[in-house]
Amino acid sequence: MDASRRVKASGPGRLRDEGGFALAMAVFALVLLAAVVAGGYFTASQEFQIGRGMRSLASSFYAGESGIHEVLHDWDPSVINFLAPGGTLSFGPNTFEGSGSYNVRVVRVGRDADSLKRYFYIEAVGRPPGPNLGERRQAALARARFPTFCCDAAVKVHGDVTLAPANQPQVIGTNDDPPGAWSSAACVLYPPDSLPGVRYGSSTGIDDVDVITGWPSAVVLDPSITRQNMFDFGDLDYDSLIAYADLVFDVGVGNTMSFSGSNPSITASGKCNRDDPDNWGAPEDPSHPCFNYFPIIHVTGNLILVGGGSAQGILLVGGSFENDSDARFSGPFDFYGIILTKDDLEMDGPGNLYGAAFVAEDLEMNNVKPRIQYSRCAVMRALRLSSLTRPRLLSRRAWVALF
Amino acid sequence: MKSRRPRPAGGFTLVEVLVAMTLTGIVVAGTLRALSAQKKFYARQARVLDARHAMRAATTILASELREASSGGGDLYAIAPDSIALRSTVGFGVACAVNEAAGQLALIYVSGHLRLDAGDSVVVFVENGEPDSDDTWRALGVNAIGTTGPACAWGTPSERLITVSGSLNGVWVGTPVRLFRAYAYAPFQLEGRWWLGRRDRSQPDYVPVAGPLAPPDSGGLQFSFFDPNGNTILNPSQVARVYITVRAPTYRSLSDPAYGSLSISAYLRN
Repeated sequence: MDASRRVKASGPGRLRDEGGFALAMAVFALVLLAAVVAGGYFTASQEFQIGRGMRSLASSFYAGESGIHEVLHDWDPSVINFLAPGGTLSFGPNTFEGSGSYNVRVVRVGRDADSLKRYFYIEAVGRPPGPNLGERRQAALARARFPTFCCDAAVKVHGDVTLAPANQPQVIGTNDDPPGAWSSAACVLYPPDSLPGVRYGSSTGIDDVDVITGWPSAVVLDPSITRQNMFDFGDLDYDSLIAYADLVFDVGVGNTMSFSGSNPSITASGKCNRDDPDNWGAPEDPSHPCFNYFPIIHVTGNLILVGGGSAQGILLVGGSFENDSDARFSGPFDFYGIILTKDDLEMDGPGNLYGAAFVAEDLEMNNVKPRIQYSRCAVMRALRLSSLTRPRLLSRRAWVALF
Repeated sequence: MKSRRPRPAGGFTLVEVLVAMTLTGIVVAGTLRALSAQKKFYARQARVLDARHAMRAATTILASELREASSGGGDLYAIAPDSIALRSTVGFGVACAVNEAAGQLALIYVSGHLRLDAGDSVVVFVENGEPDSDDTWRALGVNAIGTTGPACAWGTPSERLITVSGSLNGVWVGTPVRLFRAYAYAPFQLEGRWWLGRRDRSQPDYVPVAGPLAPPDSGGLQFSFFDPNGNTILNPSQVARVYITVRAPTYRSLSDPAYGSLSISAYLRN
C-alpha cells in the first residue's frame, strides 16, 4: 500500500510543492556576486582610465616639447628668418612612432625695424598616440641674430702678402656679385658696399700692391691687427664660430684634407640634406634646395680645395690654438662665402674666392690668375643663411606651458 | 462503504526544519562574512585610490610649478627638504607693442590668468644692447590690465594692455611677459590631517591643494634638489632637477598607519 502511494505521489499528475528556497538563495547569491564583480570592475576601470589619461597627457607633453626642438633643429634660415612681422609658418602634424604627434606654428613677433634680430613665438600642440585622449600646449620664445663681423676688407691679413704679379693675381675690394646664378634676385637684398682690397697689420709685407684694388683705397694699414685679435668679433670669436660648425673634419693638426667640390644632396622629403659631410651647398644652382645652405665648416688641419669644384659657406681652417693649418686652392676651385684660416691662405691656380677672408699668417697667390673678389652678396648670404642665424631660446624663462 | 484514511500532513518534520535552518545559517553566515570582507577590501581599495589621487595631484602641481621656474633667474626663493618657495607663473603673453613713455605693453598670445589681483607682478625680458650677455629679466609691478589696447606692431589686434610701474627701457617688441605670484608650498595640518599647502608669500595661512598626505615625520612631502651634474644641492640658484616624493595614508585609522608613495623627477625647463 505504501509503495503504491509513493508511486502515485511521484507520478506526473501529482507533483508536490516542496516550498524550498534554493532558487531564491541562488538568485540572491548571484546578485551579490554580480554586485561584487561590478564594483571591482568599476574601480579597476576607473583606475585604468585615470592611468591611461595620465599616460596620454605625458605623451602629449613630450610630443609637443619634441616638436619645438625639432623645428629649431630643422630651422631653415632662408625661409623662417625672412618672415614678415606677424608672419606664420606651420609644421606638422608629425608623428613619432608609437609616442604621439605634434603640430607647431612659428610666428615672427617683432618689427620691420629689427634689422639685425628676429624674435619668434613657437607654439606646439602635442597629442598622444591613438584616440585623442587629451592634448597639451606649450610655447617657447626664441631669438635669431644676424652677425655683423664681416668685413672691413676683401682680405684681412696679419702676415705677409705674396702676390707674384707675373701670374696675374687679383685681390679686388670693389664689390661685385659672383657670376651666373648669383646675379639673380638672391643679391637684391644686399646693396653694394665696396671695401679696401687688403687690410694689413704693422708687421705685414706686401710684394706688389698694384694688383690690389679697392675702395676707398686698395690697401689699408691697421696697426691694431695682431695674431691674437684677428678673430675677435665682439660677441663672436674663432672658438665660438667653431661651436656653431655644421660640419667638422677633425683631420688633426699637421694633417691635410682634400676636398674636390660640394656634392649637394637632398633628403627623402626633398629638403637640403644638412647631415651630409660632402654637402657644402649648391652655389651654382639656384634651383637646388641647397642653394641657400651655407654650412659652417671646420677643418682642424690643412685643407686643399682641389680641382674644378665649388662650395659655399663659412670655412674655418685650424683648431682652437695657433697651429699649422693652411687653406689652399689648387686648381680652378670656386668658393663663395668667408674663409678664416689660422695660418696661410694660398691660391695656387685659377681659383676664385667670392666673398672675403681673414688670414692669421700669410696670403700667397701663386700660379695663374688666382682671384679674391669681395662680394657683399656672398658675405651677407653666408652670414645670414648660416647656422649663426638659427634662433636660440631666450636665456631663462623662454619656455611656457599654455592653458 | 469506503473507509476514510487520514491524509498525510503537508508540513516539514522537525528534523527537516532544523536541517534547513542550520544550512540557511551557514549560508547566511558565509554570505555576511564574504560581504564583510568585500566591504573591507573596497574600503581599503578606496583609500588606496584616494591616496593615489592625492599623490598624483600633489606631484602634478609641484612638477608643473617647477618646470616653469628658472633657478638661475632667481625663481626659487627658498628650498628645503620638505618645502619650497618659488615664483609661480600664472599668466603669459608676448609684447606686440611697447609704449615706453606710458609704461604700457600690448600683449598677444595670452594664456592663463591675466587679470589684475593685488600683488601681481610681471617679469619682462629685457634685451638691452647687442650682445646676449646683457640680456636680463626685469620684475615690474602691475598697475592695470585692460582688455583693449593698441594694435600690434604688425597690425593684429592685441589681447591685453598691461600698465606697469617701472622702466621699459630695453624691452623690445616680441619680448615674453610672465605674470607671476610668489607661492610657498609645504605640508600643513588641518583638522588632524596633513595636506600639501600653498600660501601666497605675503599671507600667513596655507590653503590645502592636495592630500591628505602622511605626516612630515613619515615623509609626507620630500624634495631632493640636484644641480646639472647630478649633485645634491641646497643652493636655489643652481637647481636643475627636483626629485619629489609624496606619501599618503592608505588607512584612515591612526592606529594602523600604512602609506603609499609616489616619486617623480621634475627638470626645470628654464
